Amino acid sequence: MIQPKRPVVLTIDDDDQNATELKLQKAVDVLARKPDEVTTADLKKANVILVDYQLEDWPGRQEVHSISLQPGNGVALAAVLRSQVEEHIGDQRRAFAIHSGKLDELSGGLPALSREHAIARTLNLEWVFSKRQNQKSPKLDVQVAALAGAVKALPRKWPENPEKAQRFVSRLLATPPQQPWGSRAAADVETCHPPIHEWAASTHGMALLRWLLHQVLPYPSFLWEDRYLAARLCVKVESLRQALASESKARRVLEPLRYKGVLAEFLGDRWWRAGVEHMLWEWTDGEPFNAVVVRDAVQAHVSKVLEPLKFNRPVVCVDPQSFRPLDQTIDVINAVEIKPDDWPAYAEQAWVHIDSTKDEGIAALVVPQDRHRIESAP
Amino acid sequence: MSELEFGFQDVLDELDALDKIIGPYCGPRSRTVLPQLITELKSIRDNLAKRAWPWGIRESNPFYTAVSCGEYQPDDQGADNVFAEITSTWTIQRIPPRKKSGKAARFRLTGNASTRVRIYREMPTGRAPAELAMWRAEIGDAFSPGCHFHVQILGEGDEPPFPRSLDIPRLPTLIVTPAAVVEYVVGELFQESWLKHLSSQSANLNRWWPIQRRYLSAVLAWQLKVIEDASGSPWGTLKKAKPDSQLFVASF
Repeated sequence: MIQPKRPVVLTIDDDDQNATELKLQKAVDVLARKPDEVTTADLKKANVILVDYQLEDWPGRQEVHSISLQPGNGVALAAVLRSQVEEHIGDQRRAFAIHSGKLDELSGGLPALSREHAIARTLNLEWVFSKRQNQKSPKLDVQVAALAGAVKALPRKWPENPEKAQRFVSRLLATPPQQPWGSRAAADVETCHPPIHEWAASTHGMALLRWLLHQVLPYPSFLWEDRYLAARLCVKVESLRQALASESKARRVLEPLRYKGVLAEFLGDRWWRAGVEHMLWEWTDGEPFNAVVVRDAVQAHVSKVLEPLKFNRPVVCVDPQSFRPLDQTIDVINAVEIKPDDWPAYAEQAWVHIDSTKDEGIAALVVPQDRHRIESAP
Repeated sequence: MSELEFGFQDVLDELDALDKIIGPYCGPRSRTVLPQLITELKSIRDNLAKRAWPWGIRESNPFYTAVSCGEYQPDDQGADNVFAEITSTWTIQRIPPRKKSGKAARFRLTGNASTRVRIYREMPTGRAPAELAMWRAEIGDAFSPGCHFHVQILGEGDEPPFPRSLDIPRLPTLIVTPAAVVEYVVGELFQESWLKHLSSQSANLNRWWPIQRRYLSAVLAWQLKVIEDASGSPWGTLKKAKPDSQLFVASF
């Protein structure tokens, strides 16, 4: 049987690359190059180009005198190589990413951890990977393989016909048409404005992957991460994680709701909101927002070890510094909505505890509807 | 006749627009109520079961308005700090689409259609709010004595005034959907500021007003026609009249 070709990752570093290469080789084919060694043929073969941020030992750069020929760091080199792809290959189906131990230098003063999507978006990259393992993210090899696999899944020519493009995106996202909630899931995707027409065509589909990487997977929208799933099920997130890790029944029941499209492994499990709502409707016989009924139903259908939340209107808090979701769930009465700069308009609300707004910087982000509450707070 | 039909998208858009325009007039604990109502209606739309479902703002999680500090009178001269609690129950059934694979576009009312409003006086911390008023905006069914779109006062307890045993008067109303009732109540509690607030909400108001205008126009046009065609007592005729089930979806 012919094995499908593995994705190819071109890693560029001025230093010894053995460690990175070893990490990645399990999942992808690696072309390890120093900056001076990169060729157009390498770029042609690669699905992902992973560039080290700090490039100091680069003899070729020292030999030229024009500063225009001296990229200062990995971000600049990635931009040069991207232009080479556009100029000489013409096919943009390549993801450019930075690999760095100093992401904080690139994050504009905000904590870099868990904000890789925002940094990448700012720097015109598909992603930035930290050399320090983020315990909350999947391992580097898993992420890089998922990214390379997603690029590899893009068609040579993006469908021009709008219906065909729509169908292709449904396949790419694995929206489950066989599920009774499939059409609702597709409608949810549509409300998040995926770039699937002229922009997707002119970028060979890379715009769609960027949308998923930068604007969908990090935020609660048609896909939920486990914190939002737990809040909707009115249970503590730690107990949900425990149930999913240790109980086959919990995994089996929730499995149909798990996102299985491209980049599914990139930031950890995501769950279809439409599927969760459908399931809750069925389990509660039409009372999906009655917290008492939901808690009972979830314990009966998913797992007895799930620990119910003690309040009825749970919302997930985001970290007031990084604006990433926390494991902290609170009652909406104690929360105010904020609008961080990069929070997509179609994403569900970002909430912080009302006490966080004592910080002037956070208070400035509170939406007009809630501003009177922080003004009247003691 | 009767078993009024509504467009799913109309009601979903109406709720979504209201959620966006209501802003600070929604009580903090109720920020998730309208989105939940939307989610429930989508679940009914997408559920293939051939049965009726109760749909509404549950008593377990009512919609609370913000507190009106006397703003229910001109120049905020009202004596009390008051707020409203709104709950609703509509019994509805999805009308299956013609194409089996298509999405259901409409639902019909098959039973109760009642939106209850309670006005409370805010009390110092630790004391329960005092109920000052209660009424229900209701839609009748094929057999209800009329008027078809009506408001009833109290009528849920055994004691007068308006005990349960006396289910009159049924005062005619133009306000039909739960979202419209919410707007009506907020407009009453915040006489001046609500209208000022609306004037700053043009983008979402553009989604709200076409639906409301269509609903109100349909009710008024139907009532006018009934009265114009009446040969006996105009009021008596209107009281007995039942609208066509397509009243709110005629333009589909």
